[in-house]
Amino acid sequence: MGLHRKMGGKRWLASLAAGAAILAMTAQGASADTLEDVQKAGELRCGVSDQLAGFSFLDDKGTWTGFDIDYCHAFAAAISGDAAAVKIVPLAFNQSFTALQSGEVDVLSRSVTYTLSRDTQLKMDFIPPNFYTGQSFMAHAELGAKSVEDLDGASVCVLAGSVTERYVADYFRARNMKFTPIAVEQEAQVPTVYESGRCDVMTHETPSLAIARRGFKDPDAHVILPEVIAKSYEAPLYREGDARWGDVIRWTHFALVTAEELGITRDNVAEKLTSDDPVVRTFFGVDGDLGEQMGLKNDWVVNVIKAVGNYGEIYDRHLGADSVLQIPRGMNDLHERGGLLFAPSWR
Amino acid sequence: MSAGGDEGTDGRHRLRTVLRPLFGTPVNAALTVVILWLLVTAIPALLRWGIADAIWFTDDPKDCIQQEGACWAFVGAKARLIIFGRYPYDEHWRPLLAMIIVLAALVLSADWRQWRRRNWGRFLIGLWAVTIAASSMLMAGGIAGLESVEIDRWSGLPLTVMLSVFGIFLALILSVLLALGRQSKLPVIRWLSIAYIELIRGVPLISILFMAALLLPIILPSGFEISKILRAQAAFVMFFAAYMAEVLRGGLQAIPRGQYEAAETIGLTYWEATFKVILPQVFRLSIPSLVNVFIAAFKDTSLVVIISMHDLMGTTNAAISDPAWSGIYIEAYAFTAMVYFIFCGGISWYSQKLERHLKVGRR
Repeated sequence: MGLHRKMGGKRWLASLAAGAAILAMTAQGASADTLEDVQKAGELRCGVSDQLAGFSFLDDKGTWTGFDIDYCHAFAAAISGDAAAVKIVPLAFNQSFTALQSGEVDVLSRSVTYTLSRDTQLKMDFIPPNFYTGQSFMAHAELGAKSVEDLDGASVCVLAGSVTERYVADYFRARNMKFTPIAVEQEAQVPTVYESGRCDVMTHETPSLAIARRGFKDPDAHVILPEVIAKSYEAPLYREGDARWGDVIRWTHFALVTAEELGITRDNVAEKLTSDDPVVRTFFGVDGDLGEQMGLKNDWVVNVIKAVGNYGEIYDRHLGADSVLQIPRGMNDLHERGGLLFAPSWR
Repeated sequence: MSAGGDEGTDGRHRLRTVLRPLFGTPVNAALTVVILWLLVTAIPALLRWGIADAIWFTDDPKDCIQQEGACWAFVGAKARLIIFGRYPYDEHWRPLLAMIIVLAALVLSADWRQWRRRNWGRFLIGLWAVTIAASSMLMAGGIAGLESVEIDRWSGLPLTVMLSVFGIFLALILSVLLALGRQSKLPVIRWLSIAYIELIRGVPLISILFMAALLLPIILPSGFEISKILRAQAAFVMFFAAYMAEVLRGGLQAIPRGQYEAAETIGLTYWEATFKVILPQVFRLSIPSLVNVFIAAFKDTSLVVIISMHDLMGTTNAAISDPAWSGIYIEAYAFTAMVYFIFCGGISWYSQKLERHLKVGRR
């Protein structure tokens, strides 16, 4: 028995040592310099929403697609030149902030609304919003409503106890209009109840309305009204206190917007490379060394646009005209076309 | 005394035994009528939805959305996503083969006719070592010309099977130690075992999963990284070990003292007595309740959805969030429910067979 015990003890020690070795092997040096870490690892870890139609979802082949996913690819292309050098990490909402803070992911590209409390209380920083949305209304087309002004006295389907319910009440009260709230207990049932005709109008965030409308028997019998109440401006996030990393994330977004301003698309990027326009030459890093100053390659913008196209292309592909969701650009258009998207000068 | 008369009374008797529970009392009669009525109204509607009005094949999601019936074409389009999830599309044969290997090993070890064979235990240990090695090599790749696939991309049914089979297997080993520890004469070991079991049983599985998913990365020194799948697997092992240990304790307490004393008298050491005399009897007694825990474990693996892992349930949720097929989800859940039913039904069927077999053996 003594012999038995000894052997057991040795085996136990051996397995402990093996475990420690495995742990040590998986260990990576983590420092405050995320850009360097990502470049060394050769892979960006990009936290996304675990499932949100249009933004991040798995296609038939099990590949991640969507607006937020293309942003991950854009970041990866900016850092390493390879849009595929990214590990998509799906995160439930309540996990995503911890995942960023604990270093499980390098950046969050998911629909997080930019708010003061999140910016100041959590150890994270936002870049300028890359998706502007808010709460909208969808009405049965037969009502003939053109705007929310026409909805006085309407019955509105809302999710019971939700923020949306309060926003509707505030909005209508401020305009001296009446409405009958029809509170629905489960989120998935709100569209069903609305479609059955129990209420004249349903309210939700604009993309959710578009997704719901697509599932209806006759999508054309429903209109999404132009007003957007209760703004929700969504932006990617990075860990606080890493300004160099934040610059890369922020300017990747600006590069996508600038490319649209300059009319550069995924298809014409090769021919624009030979352009004489000094603005385009600086943008592409043909002239100057703006890229190297950031710790990237001078032609990093070229890699980004080649991989995902400009902002408008990403939007149209997943949310807009070329997608099944058909959400109008609205606020998400360039500043010069009356939208809210802007990019500072590329100098 | 004619044969016909006998058959008549016999038939009437049989009819009565069938009808009495259904219509014996006014309450029973009312219940029977209500349930019959529900069946009569529900079944034709279900058949109309599921078969007559259903769309079986289409490439255009619009055909489905405008339809009243079930859209099985959606399940067809999404079946590979639901079953294999994020595993690289062209390599799906690998998880399929790995799953077949694991299930074959499971069936082989479940065959009680072989249990009495000599050295069968040793054979099983070898079999499982080979099974685990072969299936994980198939899944992970990186050798023998197989493309390397990182562990975070394992998903769908193979993940569910892996989490539950390996989880149950490892939990069972841990639970034996815990159950023995709880009965131990050494106070420290006994207290530790009791503390562990009661602590884990006092906490819902969800919170243990959350701890594994959220707390562990914070507690671990930065730079140490363990895949989320392995963290979840560890959480399952810890949780189910506590429950199985209690099941085994029931078995241990049912073994008469005489068995221990007899083993001691013939000069067996504690471990020899435990493994050769006590545990075989404990397992025979506890198998039905253990199988119960196994079924629960298989279904509970779907809780990993809350830490956004793509097990079978997770891939089903992923399938229904495709905006192109917006509004279609019942069909996907029906498909997944069927897969779960096949597995759980299989385990349950086996447990009943085994129970019957063991009872016969004891008489």
